[in-house]
Amino acid sequence: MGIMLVLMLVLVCGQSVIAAVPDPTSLHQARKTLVVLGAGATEKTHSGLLASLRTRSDGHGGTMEVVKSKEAAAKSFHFRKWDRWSYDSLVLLAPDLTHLGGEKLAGVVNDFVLSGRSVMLTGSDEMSSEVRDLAKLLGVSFHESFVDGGSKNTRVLDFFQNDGGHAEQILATGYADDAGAILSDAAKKKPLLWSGVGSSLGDDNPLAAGAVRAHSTSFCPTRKGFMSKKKGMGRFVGAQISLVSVVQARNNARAVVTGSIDMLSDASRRPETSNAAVCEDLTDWVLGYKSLLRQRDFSHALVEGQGVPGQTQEVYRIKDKLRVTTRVEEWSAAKQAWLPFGREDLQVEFTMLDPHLRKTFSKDLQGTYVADVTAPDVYGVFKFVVDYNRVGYSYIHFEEQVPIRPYRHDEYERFIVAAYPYYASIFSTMGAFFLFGLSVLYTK
Amino acid sequence: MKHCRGGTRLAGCRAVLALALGLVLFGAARCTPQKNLVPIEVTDLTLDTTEENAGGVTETKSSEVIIGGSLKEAAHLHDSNELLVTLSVLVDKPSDFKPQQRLLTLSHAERKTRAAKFVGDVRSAGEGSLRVEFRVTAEAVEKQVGTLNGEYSAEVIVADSAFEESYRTSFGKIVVSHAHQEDGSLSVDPEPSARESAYELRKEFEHVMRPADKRAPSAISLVFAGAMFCPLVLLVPVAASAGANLKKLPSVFLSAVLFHAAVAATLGVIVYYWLSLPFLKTLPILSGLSAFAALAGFHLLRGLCKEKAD
Repeated sequence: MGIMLVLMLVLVCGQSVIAAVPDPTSLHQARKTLVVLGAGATEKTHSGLLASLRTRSDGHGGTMEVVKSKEAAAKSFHFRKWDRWSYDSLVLLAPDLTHLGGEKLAGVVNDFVLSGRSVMLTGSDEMSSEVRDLAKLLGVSFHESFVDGGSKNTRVLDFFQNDGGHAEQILATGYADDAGAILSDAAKKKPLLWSGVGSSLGDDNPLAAGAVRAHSTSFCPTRKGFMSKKKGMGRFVGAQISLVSVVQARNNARAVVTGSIDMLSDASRRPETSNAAVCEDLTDWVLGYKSLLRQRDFSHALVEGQGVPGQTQEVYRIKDKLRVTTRVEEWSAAKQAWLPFGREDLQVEFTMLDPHLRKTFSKDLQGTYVADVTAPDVYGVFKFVVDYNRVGYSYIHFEEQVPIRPYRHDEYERFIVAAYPYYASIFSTMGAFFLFGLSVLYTK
Repeated sequence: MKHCRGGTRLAGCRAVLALALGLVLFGAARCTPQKNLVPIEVTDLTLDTTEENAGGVTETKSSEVIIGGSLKEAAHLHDSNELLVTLSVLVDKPSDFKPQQRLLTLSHAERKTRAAKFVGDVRSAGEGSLRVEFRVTAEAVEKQVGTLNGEYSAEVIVADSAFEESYRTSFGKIVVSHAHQEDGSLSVDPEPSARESAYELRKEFEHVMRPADKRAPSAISLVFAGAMFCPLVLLVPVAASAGANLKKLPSVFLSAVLFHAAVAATLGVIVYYWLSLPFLKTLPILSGLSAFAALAGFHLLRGLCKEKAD
């Protein structure tokens, strides 16, 4: 009995020790993914997507669980229990879902995202109000115009760029210029077959971006099928319609929102469309398999000025030349390792209330980012700020305080040529004093 | 027996045929009949510029029929005029027919995310003919994209699901200028939106150091420095002409040498302090030198007084 107690104690303590050790790899890569299937998505209609998700999840050291919406909505389903999440990423292929784990969908998934976890949300023309509300919380507003007695939303129409003359089957090519952070170049080579409800993103929301936008010929029709003349409806016309939106929250949680569940189906995965590639890229991005960044090893040192060159000092002097270095790494889910980041648009600012200078880092042979800056001729408490904000990449924000002191009294310029007359006058006075003394004392 | 077998086979074949026919009929019933698409012809794409005259009457200042799909030169839109884009659509449809999409888009040439959109009005122009009109004002453009001046590309779309081929054309450039805002101030281009500016590379800049104080040219400073020694040089002949001499020196030579050496050393220490000697090291040296100079000076003066008394 005593041995059993001891063993139990050891197990409990051991577990808590293990739980306390942080994951040395990415905190944001999905390890436990939940996929919820609802109306419009079954294991048969979306088998390609599910198989792809499972392969990647297993390959990248994670697990995936697929549940039906009815089971997921039940109170007995443990999505969140005692404020602990059972999953770290969520793929919702259930536009009709209203509850998750017994809680209202919008609220619980919003909390999920606030905790730093990622979600992929798909809508359809029959999506629930909870899905709409959730999208709105993420910064994406779905178009609202209902037909069939209010049960169905109108779909985006395009009479020019469509599949086989069907205006609702859009062939979209308005991919975001994200330098491969979300959608790869291969995915952008072909059009995306998309059919669903359009959405718009507020101009004042910098966190959301359109990964795939509609053409200038597209529009979200009224229930009678016409272009709306109402004030404010301009955001549902043309390239302002977002077909697939991506949201990167300030805590680096990611969300993908689209109004087309058909985009992810097997029927859309055709050789002439890029649906398979786009779905893979979007799920890679939202599950944290790509475009995750971390910054480390920030340092600064004197290059030229008061002190030992190459040494990091606690205080620098005005006009000192400084060298700033840092390392930025990108997570590779395939290799399960952090690799040097490839882009060369990282910038550093030297700030005291406002930036006094801004410089773009260059990279040395080891992949370290290096920038040479000159401390301004203003003294005070400055900080180096690295603030990296690009579509699709996780945010980097780093600050390090560096005081700058003025010249000491003995560090100013000396023996200035313009002061030579003054030096000469003093020496002249000294000499005159000496000679005058001689003449006064010894004149007879 | 054989007759029975043949009968069974025939019945089976009939069943299969009936099933196949049923399937064919079912499939045919499910087939959606092809929609009747109608051809359209778009003519008379015209751009009219209208302006209010002094009497408050709107008159057409210019009218251009767009031939070859493009304006001859860019049209101008400003606060006091209006542009009217009209086109005729010949389509075999009832007179109350309205195309689903009647859109005029003005897209800014540089800031591509800024575009103003106008929905056209439709009226019947006789049997099988529609007239689509787009009214463009600077105020309407300002409401959508702000006071963004510059060149805009114009595109018009007339589309419907019933058309065999919908109409879309870009017909040239329109230069928009907003002169003044409501409060009378000059209009400025709107700032980039949060999304436009959030992700772009920010401009690099360096801190501009305070300019160095202005100084005289080195040559002038050197000339004046030389000039500072002129009084010293002049002092010797002036003093000699005034009768100065050193006749008393031999009688108190030793004291004089010591005293003047101490004075010269004091001046030297002061120069050395100016160059590099720390203050707290200078004070003891000066104290010692001044004490010695005082003593030597006392002896010198006593010697001079003795000589004078003699």
